Amino acid sequence: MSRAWCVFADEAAREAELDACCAAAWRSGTRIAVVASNRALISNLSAAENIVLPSAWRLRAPRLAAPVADWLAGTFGEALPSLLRQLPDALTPQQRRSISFARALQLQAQQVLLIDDTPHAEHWLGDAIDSLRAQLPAAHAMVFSERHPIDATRWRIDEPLRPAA
Amino acid sequence: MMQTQASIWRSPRNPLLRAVYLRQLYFSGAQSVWLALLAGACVAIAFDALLRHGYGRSGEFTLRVIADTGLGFVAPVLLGLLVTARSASAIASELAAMRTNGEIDVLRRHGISPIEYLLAPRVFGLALGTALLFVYFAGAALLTGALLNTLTHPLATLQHLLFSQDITPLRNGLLRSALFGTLIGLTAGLLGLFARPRHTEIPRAASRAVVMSLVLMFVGAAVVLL
Repeated sequence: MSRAWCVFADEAAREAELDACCAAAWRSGTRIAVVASNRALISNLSAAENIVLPSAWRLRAPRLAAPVADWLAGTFGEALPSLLRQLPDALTPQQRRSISFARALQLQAQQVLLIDDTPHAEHWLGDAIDSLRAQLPAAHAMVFSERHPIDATRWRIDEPLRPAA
Repeated sequence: MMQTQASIWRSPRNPLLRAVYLRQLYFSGAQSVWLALLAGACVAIAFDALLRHGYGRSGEFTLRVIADTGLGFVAPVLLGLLVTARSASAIASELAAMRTNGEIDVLRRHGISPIEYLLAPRVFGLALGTALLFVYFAGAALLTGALLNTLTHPLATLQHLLFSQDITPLRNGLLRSALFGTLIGLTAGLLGLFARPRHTEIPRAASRAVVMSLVLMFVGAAVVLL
């Protein structure tokens, strides 16, 4: 699994490149997903509905995939059933990140864009990469951030670029 | 294998899209049924009071005017007003809020067309919902008019009226209601989807949606009458 850290001058540049990356990916037929803590979920859909939304858009019978359900159960334990019924406003940023990560797993994303929108908490990025390596070993992970990583040895630092078609 | 290159317009058989359509139809149509029934009955009472008691016309004449003018012209405009009041501001403010909160971006980034997922179901739901409300309105108006007139068998009169009457006004009323519902849904939806992404724009989008919907509806009604 390849990974890269992309540094942007500001949030506007990061968001613009995010839009461009996603548009280019879908045009080329590449499944892409975005993982973030904020502004990542649809507010009038429950957590479960947010997870299956992109895959349901292309499948006739959208159901939570077994590997995704297992990953969610391992992450949330007994709180999972009630959490899946919650709206995003009722979730913590960490829970929203996990739900958006589950959405990437459900979609079987080939590219996963991780938005570094919690500058003082980089550990979740490492945990996300570890989970991706286990669940989606062939996926390409890119971190979109406005700063350089604390531990630069773990990342290949890239200039903002679009994924190869 | 999961599809990634899907057609632009998704089949209504897609369960996700079907749920969105049904939800909008329920909100726009089913929840306003009692209002449509009440409005239909009140219009019939008003026509009856004006024509029979004000101008001394017969009960049968009153029923014919209710069917021709009341349902062909008054009903679509009244239902348009009803739908505008209930749905236009709600749709515009909901979509403007989604735009402000970045949810439209979330949809696009995951390959979901906001036009297909958000706008089309609302337009379709309003069009079909308004047409269904017309059916309830028409039923209430005609039944009330038949009950109010002095003939001994109001239901028989109503049956005779419906089967001998040219149904063109009813058909036109149904089509005009659907047209107005479409115009209102498109107006509110587009104003919400393309509102500027600021919280102060949310109420502005809602009020613009109501005003523009009313203007388009009245202009549309005038054009139809020409």
